[in-house]
Amino acid sequence: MEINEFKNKLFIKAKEFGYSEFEIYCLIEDASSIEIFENKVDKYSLNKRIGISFRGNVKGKMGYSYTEAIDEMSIDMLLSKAFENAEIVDDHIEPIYAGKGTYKKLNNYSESLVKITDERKIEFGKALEERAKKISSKIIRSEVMISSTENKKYIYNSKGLGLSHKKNSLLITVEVVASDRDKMYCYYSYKYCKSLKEEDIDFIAKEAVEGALACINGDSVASGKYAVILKNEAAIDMLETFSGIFSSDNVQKGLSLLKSTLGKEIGSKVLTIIDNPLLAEGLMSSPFDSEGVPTYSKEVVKAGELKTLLYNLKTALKDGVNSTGNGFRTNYTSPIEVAPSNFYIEPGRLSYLELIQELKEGLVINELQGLHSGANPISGDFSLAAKGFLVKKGNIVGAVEQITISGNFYRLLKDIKAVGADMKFGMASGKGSFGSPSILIKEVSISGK
Amino acid sequence: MLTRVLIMEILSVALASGGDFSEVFIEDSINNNLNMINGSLENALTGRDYGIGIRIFSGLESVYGYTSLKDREGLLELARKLSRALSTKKQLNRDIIFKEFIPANIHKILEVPSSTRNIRKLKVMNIADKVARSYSKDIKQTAIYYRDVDQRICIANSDGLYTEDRRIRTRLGISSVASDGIENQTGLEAPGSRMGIEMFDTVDPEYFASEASRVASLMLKAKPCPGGKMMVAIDKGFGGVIFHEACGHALEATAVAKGNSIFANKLGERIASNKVTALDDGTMANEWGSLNIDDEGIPTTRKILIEKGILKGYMIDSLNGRRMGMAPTGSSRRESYRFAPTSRMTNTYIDKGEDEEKAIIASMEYGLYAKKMGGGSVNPITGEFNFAVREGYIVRKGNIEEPVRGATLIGNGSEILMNIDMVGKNMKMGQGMCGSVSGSIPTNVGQPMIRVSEITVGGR
Repeated sequence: MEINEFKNKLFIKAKEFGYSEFEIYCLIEDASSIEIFENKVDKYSLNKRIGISFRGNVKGKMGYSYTEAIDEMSIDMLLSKAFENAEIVDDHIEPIYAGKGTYKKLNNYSESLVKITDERKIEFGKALEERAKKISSKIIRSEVMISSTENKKYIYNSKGLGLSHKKNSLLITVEVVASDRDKMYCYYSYKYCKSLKEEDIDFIAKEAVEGALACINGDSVASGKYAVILKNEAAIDMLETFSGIFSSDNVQKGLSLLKSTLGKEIGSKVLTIIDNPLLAEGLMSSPFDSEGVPTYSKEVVKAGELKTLLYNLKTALKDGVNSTGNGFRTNYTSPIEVAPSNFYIEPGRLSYLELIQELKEGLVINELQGLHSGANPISGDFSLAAKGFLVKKGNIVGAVEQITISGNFYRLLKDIKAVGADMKFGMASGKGSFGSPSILIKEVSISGK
Repeated sequence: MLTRVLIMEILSVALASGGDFSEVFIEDSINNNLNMINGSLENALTGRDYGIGIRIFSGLESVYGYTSLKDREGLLELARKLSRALSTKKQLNRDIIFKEFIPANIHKILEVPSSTRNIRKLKVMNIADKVARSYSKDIKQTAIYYRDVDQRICIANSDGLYTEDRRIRTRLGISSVASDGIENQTGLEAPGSRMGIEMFDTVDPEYFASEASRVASLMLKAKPCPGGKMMVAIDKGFGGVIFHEACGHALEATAVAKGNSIFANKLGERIASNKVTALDDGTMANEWGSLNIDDEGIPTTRKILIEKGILKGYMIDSLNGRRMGMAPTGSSRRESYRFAPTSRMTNTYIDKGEDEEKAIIASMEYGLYAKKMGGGSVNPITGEFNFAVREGYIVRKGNIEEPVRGATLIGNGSEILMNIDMVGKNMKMGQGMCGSVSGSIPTNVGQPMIRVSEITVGGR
């Protein structure tokens, strides 16, 4: 069955079923990935995914269902299960959007990406693997992955809304393993590209290799309080882990401590956080959110002051405000939630090296581990295994490992002393796309020796 | 599902240019997902996951593709494209004759969740929520989830295997947040089983709900854990996550085959203290991590990984088995058709030892008693791991004293195995979702109480 035919049949039957309002959200995704290992294609994959999510209003309550099988059986399943689910959920008004407002024109689809052949990707991947191994004799292994994704999403509802958006991306990652005196060290780097350029081979390979070599001979440090720089990668992970505190849904449910802090200082003067769904290169860019509400760029925190929370239609209704266009689904398998789009800490002026000079004595943390278990997104507490470098007299003097960094995210926002210029975005995750420069923190607890 | 004729056609086309083995994996699953916050059912979602995965090997090379579309032309085109991606172009003409294999079902299901109305599940959630919220006045929030999965799979390959299976599992999650207005602390419990709704005949939602709230309330009043190196006793049950993260992942062929593991090439060598015997057993009836067959259609097995400290075996899938020259062990798993399978754990645990739990605590001059563990992660290349301690106490002179919060255990897999110097008599298991290259899969972790002579505790 074709998707259009499926949609038409579903819409006719939904009315007969007794839904007062209903909507489908459809995602079609084509993806491929090529992994290169020891100058060969180690893994190759080619994927097509289709998912249709249905939500419908029965007596003021919303039920959800989804399917990946486009057939008659699914039509009945979607309608009967969403109906059953609507009957048991508690009463929360979840509006279906009629499509007011204007949608920004946004091009996130690159024609040049489509033209890159598999042969070209393989050739590029092999060159990258070789290059990484040649930089240092200590690199014993290198693996490259080149993945392309193209997706189209559609929203259609019984209020006449019909929207679509398509985008594509190409991601290159390289992971290297360095060996030194029987110990192994690994590191990876990645880049989102619009084309495969020769100069990127050097850039990506160097970043990974230098990262791995820098870890060699790491040692723990004495436990105590340290001033630290969270290097951009680590700052991104931290921001992603705790980004939920800015969700109005979490605030309304008491799962964020930002209740009644609107307009108040929640961070240091140097901290500005932006949610911008309209970035040309943004991984989560879209002119509308998963409810069909037009999106726009906003300062969530400006110079330390909380300017707005993120809202979808349901939470906005509860607080008597407008949706900020942050009603996103992580996937068609999930309900509408509140989520950031391209969410980042605005860069400052200092380069990474200048930040290190500013730090003088302390640690650079460039890797955090166990964020899913060692960080509590509700309390803000974290205690995480970390790696990095010891800084003395404004210079990196050695690698640091086997330490934990602990503190509280709410406290950390206030303790930011300086923000670097080395802005970077992390790899895409279901929760959004997160970015940050390196940030200098006044004090955190380190456990080591 | 697809007809056998079409499956056979796909398998043949997949071998048209260079492959020496092809496999089709078909999945049709129904899952339910109910989420309650503070007693209010926030959303209820039912979904059908459907797709077909095609995998081809040529020596050590592998290609994988999947699609949710079931039209014949689309499937054959996918198989053709995949086979063309192989670097060898030597054509093998093979006749495929299916020999149907029906795995014995070791997991009896009484009440199938996909055909039970969700209102029945809501009742269990309401009980859990009521108990969790009324536990103490410190409990300010509760979040309860209910998930069930009914996965039907069909696996066929060019060696002639044709098999089907059905996997049903149920899980209840309870999260309680205690707050004094300034600080929040969370308690989490999430019992699960390869059962239907009859799971609640043996798993008492009231017990787990009060446990979640007990830990949250207790941790609210606990002081931050002091950091540094110390002796640690880790309790039975979910404490087995330490073995799962620190050693289990490094014993998966996924890491071992390419040498990306601290335990590669160490069969027969001592990698742990002689107190440690560890197993991975996918055959335990109705256990969360169990399967009749793995995701390549091979029956699961009971494997001794470490015997009295000596490395005895790895968990091996067929592709990495080729690289290692070893037979697969029924360990190949995937979250869904969207992942090529690879070697993963099932129910992995440290076997029972000879020490009394009381004796373990009594033996400690000063240290940490980690009663409940949270999740963790590991880098299999370096062996570095980290775990969160959800409920911890300081032990002085053999007595369990004040509770402490915010502790993390960090270390290196090869070191900690050597430092396990006492092992208790009662083994217990806990349920987790394990995330790795082939997605998120249900696994059990387990152990008796163990004592680790020294480990770095991260605290404040």
